[in-house]
Amino acid sequence: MVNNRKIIFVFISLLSLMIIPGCGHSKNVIEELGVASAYGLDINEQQQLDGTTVLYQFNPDITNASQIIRSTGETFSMVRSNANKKSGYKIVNGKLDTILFGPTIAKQGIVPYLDTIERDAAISNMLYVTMSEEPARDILSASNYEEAPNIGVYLHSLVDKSVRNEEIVSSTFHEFMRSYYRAGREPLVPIISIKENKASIDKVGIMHGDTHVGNLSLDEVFLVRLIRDKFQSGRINLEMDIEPFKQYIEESQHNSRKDQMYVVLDKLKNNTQIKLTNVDDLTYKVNVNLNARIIETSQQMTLENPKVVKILEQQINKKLEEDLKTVLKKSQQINSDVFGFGVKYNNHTRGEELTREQWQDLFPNIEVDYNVSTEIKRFGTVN
Amino acid sequence: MPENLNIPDHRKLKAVYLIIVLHTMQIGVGIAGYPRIVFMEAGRGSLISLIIAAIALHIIIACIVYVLRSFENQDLHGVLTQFFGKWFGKIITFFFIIYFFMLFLSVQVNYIEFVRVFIFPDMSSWLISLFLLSLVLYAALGGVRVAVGASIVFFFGAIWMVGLQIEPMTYIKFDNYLPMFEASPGELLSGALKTSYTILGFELLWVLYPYLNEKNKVHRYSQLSMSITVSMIIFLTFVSIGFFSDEQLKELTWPVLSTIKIISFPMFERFDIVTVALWMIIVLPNLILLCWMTGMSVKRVFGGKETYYIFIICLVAFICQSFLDNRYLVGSFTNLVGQTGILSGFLFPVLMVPFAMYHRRKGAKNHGKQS
Repeated sequence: MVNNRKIIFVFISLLSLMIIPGCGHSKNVIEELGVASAYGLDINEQQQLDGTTVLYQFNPDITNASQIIRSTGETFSMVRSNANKKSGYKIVNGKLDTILFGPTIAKQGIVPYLDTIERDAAISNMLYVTMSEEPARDILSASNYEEAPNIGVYLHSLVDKSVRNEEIVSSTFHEFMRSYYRAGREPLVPIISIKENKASIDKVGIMHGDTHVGNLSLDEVFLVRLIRDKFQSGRINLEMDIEPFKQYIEESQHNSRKDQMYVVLDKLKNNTQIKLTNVDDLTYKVNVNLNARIIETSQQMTLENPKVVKILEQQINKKLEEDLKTVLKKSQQINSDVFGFGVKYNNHTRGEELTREQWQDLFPNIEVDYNVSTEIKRFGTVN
Repeated sequence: MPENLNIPDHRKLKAVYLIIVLHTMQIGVGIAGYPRIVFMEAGRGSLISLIIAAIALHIIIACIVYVLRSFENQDLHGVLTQFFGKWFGKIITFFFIIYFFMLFLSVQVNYIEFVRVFIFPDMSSWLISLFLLSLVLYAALGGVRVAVGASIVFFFGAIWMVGLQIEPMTYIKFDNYLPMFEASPGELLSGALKTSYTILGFELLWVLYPYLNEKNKVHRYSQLSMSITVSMIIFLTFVSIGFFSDEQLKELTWPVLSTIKIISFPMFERFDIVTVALWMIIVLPNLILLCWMTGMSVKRVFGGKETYYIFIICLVAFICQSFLDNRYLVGSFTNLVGQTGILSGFLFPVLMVPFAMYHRRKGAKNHGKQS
């Protein structure tokens, strides 16, 4: 008897566990939600924030699931709630994965508008922070976004793919904030530009703190990434002088018209060590060991010959060292340490934490000695 | 002089359960915010602070076991009355009851704060509290065996969450740890003191001791349990420091929960929400065991039935949580409990050791006379 009552009790409790939650939070019905996938922010002439919200809906009856809403406000949250007024859907931010800042904000500093993202636990930390040199609303109104449901999703996959392919430095919100808070390694933010109604990444913005101060081309980003990160399978296109290879280039092509040749390295892996050799003079020694395979050369050479490979490796080393120096010079002119030498400096000095201002005084005077050593592991199906 | 507690053998527990029970008791809400708290004090020396605290913890456990083993089968109240007499012992135990209750309350309000920030901002705290307390009541009313059994089940339900740190680990930047030995001894020490709230909970041993079989193995197992706790805290702190840059870590309230924020599966876009919900599994053993040990101590002081006391404790906790409903109050209350814990958790066992030594010597003398 007692046993029977117990079973009934357990059964009723389990049943109520399943049923009672239905009475609770039924505020968010998925068909009534507008899921924000991207925000674009600009500042308009009245010094107000001009926001563009890209939404999509999960309603199966809708044919055009993408919506773009423009709204203004004083703060990011105001922009969001004003966008809400213009939509029949309740706008939620749980799946927000891109935020795009127009040039007006990028020049002033973007962090004031990121506060709510950090504070609000509902917003993911893995959204990508991006910028553009055209107004953000123009980028978000581009009509060609391949097969993606809307431009927000397209932008996210565009950036995500580039990060995965190791073409740019990752700029998720978490990583952006980490670099922002760390003096001595400035954040890099991809710049979205628009061509023929389609958004693409063709450069990366150098930040100084949270303000946009300069640009790096994708080739330069490769070099920065070589120092700052680790490649698992990178790819680079190198332009080289043909002179040292002349005698090895196969006869049939010898009368080639060009004095430049191209080598494409693929599956590139690197191991970079930065050493601060002298704290007072701020001299660094950077050893880059990399290995890769050749996937394309513009001149036919007998790569079977170890001599050729050796020369090729030496030429690549020389070329990369020169390029690294140029990029360093460029970043010193802008006075923004994208490589992370400041962090190394801070690691070697005890006591006071390095501030961004201090490093700004020191960074233009640092000297770096690059030492690249390349190893070509294999060269495809032809010799 | 109170008699030894006579607990029938069928109500006793194996000493080996201590490994899990003490560990689940320590890991709770404190760990979620711990990396920031220690980093604020000791900076990159946080791990050293933690190791200092860990050494202290192991010594304290040795002290507690030493004191308890001076008697055959006594709990905290019994030990105190043996040392200080009936009334004074009762007064000190009463302070401990208040302290246990504060711990109970702080775990509860902190967890409510998690839920309200991460999952349901508009859910009223009394509802969450009601859900928690009804589960606590269910387990605590079942007595010590149910309470311990529940915490073992919940331990295995929660331990896999350590694996969630694997993805954040891939984001670690090693230069966040350098320069490592920067903090001054003073900073390291205050970092170690701030660790107290996170590793409190071993006081359970005071109350649980009479219920254990194989008393000679108690020391071994409790030390093992402490080292599991410590290594887990070291691991989580290590990941948090590497994952965030220094200023960023100082901004976050719960770094451990924030590291989990980056995890996303195809079927779970935001895994942190699941984690915070599942954090209840980590918190429940804390609440159950604290509730049981508070009720038990009250019974030892005032006599009467434990069941009623457990109901009263839950009712009082239910009322009290409604007063602690903003972040500032929760934070300062937690701080207060942490500081009380330094005295009653860490300092108290050391102070008891001389008394225990005296007692042992006296016992030996008496023994000598008799023979």
